[in-house]
Amino acid sequence: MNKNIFLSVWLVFLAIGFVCNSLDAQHVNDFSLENTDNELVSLEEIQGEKLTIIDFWATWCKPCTKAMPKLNDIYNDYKDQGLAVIGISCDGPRSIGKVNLVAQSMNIDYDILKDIDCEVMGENNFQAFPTLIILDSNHEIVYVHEGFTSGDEKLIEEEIISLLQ
Amino acid sequence: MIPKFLPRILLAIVFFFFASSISLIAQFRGTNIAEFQFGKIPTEVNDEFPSIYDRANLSYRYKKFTASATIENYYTKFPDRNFTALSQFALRYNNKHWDLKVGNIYETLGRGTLLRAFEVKGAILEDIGFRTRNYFHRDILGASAKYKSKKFSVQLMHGDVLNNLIPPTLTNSERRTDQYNSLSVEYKYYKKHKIELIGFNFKKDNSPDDNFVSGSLNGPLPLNINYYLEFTQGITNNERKAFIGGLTGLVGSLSYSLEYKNYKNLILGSGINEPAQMVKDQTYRMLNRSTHVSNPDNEEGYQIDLFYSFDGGAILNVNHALSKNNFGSFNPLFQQYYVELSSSYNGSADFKLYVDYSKDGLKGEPNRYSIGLYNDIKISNNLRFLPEFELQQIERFDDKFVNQYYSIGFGYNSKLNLNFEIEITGDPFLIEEESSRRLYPGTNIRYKLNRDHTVQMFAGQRRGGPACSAGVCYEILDFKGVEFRLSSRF
Repeated sequence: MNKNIFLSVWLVFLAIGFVCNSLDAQHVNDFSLENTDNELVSLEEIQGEKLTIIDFWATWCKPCTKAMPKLNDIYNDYKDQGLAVIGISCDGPRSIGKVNLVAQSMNIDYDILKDIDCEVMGENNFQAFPTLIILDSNHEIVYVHEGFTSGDEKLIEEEIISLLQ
Repeated sequence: MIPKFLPRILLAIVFFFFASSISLIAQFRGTNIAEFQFGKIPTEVNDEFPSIYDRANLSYRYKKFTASATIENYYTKFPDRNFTALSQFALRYNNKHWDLKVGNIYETLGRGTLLRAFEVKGAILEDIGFRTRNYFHRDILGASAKYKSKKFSVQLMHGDVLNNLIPPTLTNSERRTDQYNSLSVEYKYYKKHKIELIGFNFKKDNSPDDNFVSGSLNGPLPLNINYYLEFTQGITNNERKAFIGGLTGLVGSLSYSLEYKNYKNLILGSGINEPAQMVKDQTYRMLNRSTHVSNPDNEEGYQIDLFYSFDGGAILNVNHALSKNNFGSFNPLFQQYYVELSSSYNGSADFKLYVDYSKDGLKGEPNRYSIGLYNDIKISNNLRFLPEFELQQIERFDDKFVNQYYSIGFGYNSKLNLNFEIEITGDPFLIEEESSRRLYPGTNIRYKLNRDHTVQMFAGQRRGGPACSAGVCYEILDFKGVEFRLSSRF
């Protein structure tokens, strides 16, 4: 009996969820994480004036490291127009020591934050690596891109151009 | 232990939030994974059978408060494997300075030497003993209070840690026999340097308390160098200890990392901790399966990792790791030498080429040679061709055999991926009598319906064995059949 109740409740909320999906944009709450210099910084402190890209990545994830140099180019091309890029590393204890190393090897200029428990990604219901989201100045998610293959940087750039207009 | 009535009270609060969310539905969010399988382990006597696994994670946010719950279901024709469970619930208040959590939480202390909770996103675990399927994570049922500022933070925790090999078909008290209390304090000095001190109390069932202290230092040094040092010492049993240290740095186009580990008698309970492995995390098929898993009972070793960036974007990665275990008269040694080159030609094709040589004394493999080439070739603006190939030769005791992996894939933007793959092994542990090899052919399709919904399908035979994801290693069972997954976010 209890099992049926759980199942029913789940189905109801799932249904509500699908409705919600079409009703509103998702909001990302402010968060604080340490950067590669051990400084605690919040989203509000480093967000872009108009748009903020958050890239959830890990050092062991090959598509993630493929995307990062492209994101770095996008950051350098559009930072003067109000775009910020934040890379949030979800590396656990096994590989968190490599975060600085990998970022340095690719000459990444944007902020890299470390989230050893991957809480920010989990809280915002993302499951895949890499996941890139674009926030507007109110922290509403206006674009989501999961995975990365060659050519995706053009799609992301087109979206940024359109959102900046 | 957590009072039995606490989950019900928290569940009521969670559902209150959910109910009230109907008027403020913009703050109601969730994810769902539904996976249908029709198949079996190739060697089992049962016929193929259908099964369905579902995990729904629901959360509601109101300003600084978050309430969440996870419901898991697994159903087959075998009643003893089936379950519907409220496997997680949590309440959180989080502002600039305070982070308060109660319920099922994920926390790591230091670099996991004393405690590591984790979630391997999207992974479903099936244990050969219980043969039920559940989400692959290790969470903590308890509470955490953290105060943080730019210079200082303090965190107090209490919890029962999940033994993730025990499925939800068993009771919570059977799944959570490891309990801990901790107090950790962090202080930053000279701007970027950090010192952390941890007091840790561990208890398993009715055994006596086991207490530990741990301290770490990290920060930048001149010449673009960063350091990390961590020392853990048992108080109740001073034979329990761990030391890890690391340096990372940059010299021109070369970035480097040097790490050292030394663990003694440091397995806590069912394995609630996960000291840093200091062996490279590999996503290549062969190397992922052949990696070394640390044994913190007694292990010493080091890792050297070098990245050299060439003009034009190519990156050369050279890695060497060594781990030595001391089990009395048996002292197995693991050594790995790995070189990877990532580059692209004319902007129209990317490739990754690796060569690896390893020795693994614990597995009785004195020589293991591997090579792999992964390509991403642009056919048109939207279409890519993705051929992959790996070859591995292993010497194990008196045997010598080869593993092969071939994959032909196509990608249409990031929207559609299709691949045909085959693994061929001559591993004597896996091949049947009168046969010299075993084949694992399979097809994968992944299609994004829209930004929130993705479908994946696998058909064929999948080779099991050890696998490591997000730094966590586990055992995958062989599978033969069809698998269909829908991942949703809402």
